[in-house]
Parts: sequence; structure tokens; C-alpha cells
Amino acid sequence: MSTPPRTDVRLTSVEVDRGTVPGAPVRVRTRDDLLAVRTVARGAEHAEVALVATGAVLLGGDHVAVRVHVADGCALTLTDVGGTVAYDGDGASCRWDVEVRLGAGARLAWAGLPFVVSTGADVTRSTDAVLGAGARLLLRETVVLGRDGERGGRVVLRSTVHDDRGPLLVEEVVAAGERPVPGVLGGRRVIDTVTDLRGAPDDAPAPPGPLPGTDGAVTLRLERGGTLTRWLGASAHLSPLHRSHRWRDHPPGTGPAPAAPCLESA
Amino acid sequence: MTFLAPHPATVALLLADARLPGGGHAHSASLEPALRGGMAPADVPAWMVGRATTVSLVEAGTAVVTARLLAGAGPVTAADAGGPDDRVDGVVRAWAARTPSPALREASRLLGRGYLRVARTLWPGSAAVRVVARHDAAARRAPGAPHGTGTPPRAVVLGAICAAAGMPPADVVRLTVYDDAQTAASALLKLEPLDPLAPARWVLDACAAAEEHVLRVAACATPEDIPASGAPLTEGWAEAHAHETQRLFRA
Repeated sequence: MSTPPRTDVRLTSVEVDRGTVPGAPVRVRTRDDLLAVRTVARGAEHAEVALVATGAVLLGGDHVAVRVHVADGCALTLTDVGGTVAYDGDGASCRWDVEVRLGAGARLAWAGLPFVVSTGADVTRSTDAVLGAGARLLLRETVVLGRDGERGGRVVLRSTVHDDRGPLLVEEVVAAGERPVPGVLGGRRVIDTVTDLRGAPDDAPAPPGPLPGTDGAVTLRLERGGTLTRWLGASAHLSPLHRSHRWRDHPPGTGPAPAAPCLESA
Repeated sequence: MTFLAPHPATVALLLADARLPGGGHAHSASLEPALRGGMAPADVPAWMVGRATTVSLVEAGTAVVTARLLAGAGPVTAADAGGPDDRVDGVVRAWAARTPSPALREASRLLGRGYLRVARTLWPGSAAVRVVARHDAAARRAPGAPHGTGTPPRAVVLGAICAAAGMPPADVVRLTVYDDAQTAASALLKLEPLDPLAPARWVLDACAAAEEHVLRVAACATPEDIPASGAPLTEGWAEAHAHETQRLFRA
């Protein structure tokens, strides 16, 4: 006999803000639930935290909510300790909702690990982000239809990113392993996306030509600046997109410190 | 001499007629990019159904919201002073945020330009058309502003025409879906040899598949309501096609 589905919202949150004393490390406040937050490092402007699953996720009926708030001028690198599998919900759907709020000049890099949608799963995965002036959001989202040998369940991927001046990106992609749609994903099992957006005003010039390390992927330059780099393919390990992005502190003795932590891609 | 206004259904027929010189003949509704990108011709019927239930609904919602915001409203905003119109601006921004592919945005704006010529010539007295025309002129005076609004895409101009004609919102949705499907069907005959009646069947099938979405999209009232259903493969194919030199269609 199966256990009854969990139906309440299970909230995990991470909030980063300035230390109370100048020069002190940033403060990281967390709330654990189906995901636990582990602080890996803290510096004067940035923190790195890891998200760890505390039990089996996602089961039918689960509603995971992740809230990430980064205060003005702070930076956060989020890493996943393991990928996530949405299991066959036996008719019950599940949700994975991420809320991101970045203050003025704040930064978030989150290189998510693969999110696997098993056959029989019915998942809605949403990301709702609001960017303050000059904030930068760098997200990697890898969604895989089916475990090995499976065609995969149904997934709705919804992304909404706004800044003070209005919408930057509003997108909904619906895919179902049993019913591939030509032009949407076709028969491809993996949709791998790096979203790189900045809140207005953004004075950074657009990088010329294709972004580095994205052979076989398509980089879409959005109307209001920022990019969405996407690869569609058969298997997550074939993706040419960067494996990780993280903010790092300015190394001592290497010249004047930039206004904010640097981005390191590996 | 008094002319009565044509029935909105007649206007829909006119707009859906390929003989209307609106510039649509140079476009394949993303079909040529799809076939060049490797989609099998046998997948065209399912691909048409896919469009009718994803990207066509973004266009349809954009037209519906434009029509609703401009219906019966006089051009009393900043457009009078020659600046962009806030109502049109909001719709264009919402549409652009839902259209991540620059190649598709550009193609749609090119079509918007042709449609605007149709609109200004046939509905010169319409406040809705004048508002969009002024917005277009203002956007052209300040091109490339990173956070300014862009010129109106086809769906926004279509919305203004629908406002001028008093077309019911559900018919605006059906017109948009039909036009997209028929554009692809017509292009297919130039790209692949086949019985000319076969794609006509697929047009009807695509429109039938969209029918369950018609009322939902017709109810869109604000830019936030516009559907955001994307088609990542189509977007990738559009980008590759935009850089090809040997092509039959613009997009």
C-alpha cells in the first residue's frame, strides 16, 4: 500500500545580507525542510551554500518551495549536492517553485544539477525572479525526461524574470516524454539552459559573437539584454554548457578589487 | 455619402487572405527553418499542431490584449506628443519577453511593418491604428535603446486592426492561429512536393487542436495574461536560419 501523498508546501529558504559590522562576513539565514541548506563559505560580500535533500523528493503531491533572497550588493553561489528525481506520482502531480529576489547590485549563481522527470511524474517547475537595479542572475537548469530506459513524464517549466522596468523573460515550456512535439523538444530528452540576466540599468556591453564553451548550443539574446543559452539533446553528460558557475572573492595581491565578486566558470 | 463599416467577419476573411499584400508571402511561419534544421517532412502535421497550441497562442494573446487596450480609447496618452504609447509599450514588452529568439522578433517586426501599411491605408480614421502607428514612429526615432520599447510586431498591429474592426476576441485568436498554420501550409508546397490538399487538412487539424485554448486566450485582458508557451527547437532553428544565405523565405 502506498503512503498518502504529502500536500503541504515545504519551504526551504536562504537569505543573504550584509554583516552588521563593516568588513564582517555576510549573514546567511536559512530554513530547512525537504531541502537543507549548508553554508560552505562566507566572505565580506559573498556566501556559498549547498542544498541537500533530507529525504526522498519529489514524490507525488510534494510541493517544494525554495526562496532565495540576496540583499543589496551581496553575492550568493548556490550548489546542489545531488540531482533531483521526480518519481512516478501515481496520478498525483508535484511542484517545485523557486522564488528569487535580488537587491540592487546583488548576484546569484546557481548551477543546478539535473532534474529528472520519471515516467509517470507530472511536475510543474517554476522560477520567479525579481532583479534589483544592476543585479545579476545566472541560473543553470537541466531537465531530463526519464531515467535510463524511460521516456519520461510530463513537465511544465515556467520562468518569469522581472526588474524595475518590467519583464525580461517570461517562458513556459511544456514537454511530455510520451508525447514529443516537433518544434518544442521533438524527441530530445534533455533541455539544458543557462540564463544570464541583469536588472536595469545594465551598462555592460553585450559580448561579441557566441559565448565561450557553448558549441552546439543556441544563445538567444533577449530583447532587454541578457542571454538564454540552451542545448537540447539526448543525454545530460553530452551538454556543452558550463558545468558550474560560482562567485569568488577577489584574490589578494592581484590589483584593485572590483566592485563585486568575480565570476568563475568551470 | 455614407459607408457602413464592414462586418468584423469580413475583415477577418480579408486579413486571412493571402492575396492581401501584407508581406506575409515572404514568410514560412518557421517551416523552412524547421526543415533546414532537420525536422522530417513527415513531422509537419504534428509540428503544425504544436505551433497552434504554443507559439501561435503567444501571438494571439498579444493581439487580443492590444485590441482590448485600444478598443474605444482615444489616443490621449504621450503618443499625442510623439512619444511611445504606454499601452502599446506594455504589450510590446510582454511579447518581447515571451519571444526569446531575436530572429523571430525581427521577423515578426518586419511583418508588423507590412501590416501597419495595410492598417493605415484601410483604417486611416481608427484611433487604435493611429496609436500603434505613432508608437512605431517613436520607436524608430530611438532605435536600439537597450531599455526602450521596440517597434510593434505583427500581432500588435493585428490587434489594432481588430480593435478598429470590432472583431470579437475569440475570432482574433482563431484568425491568428489559422493565419500561422496556413502560412506554413502554403510554404510547404514550395519546399516539398506533395498533394496540395494534404496541408489544407493539416491546417484544419491544427486549428481544431487550438480550439480548446481559444476562450482562455480570448479572455486575456492585460499584458501579464498573454500566454508564454515556448518552442525551444523552433527558436534554435530560427537563429540558424537567420544566418543562412540560401533560403526561400525570410523566416
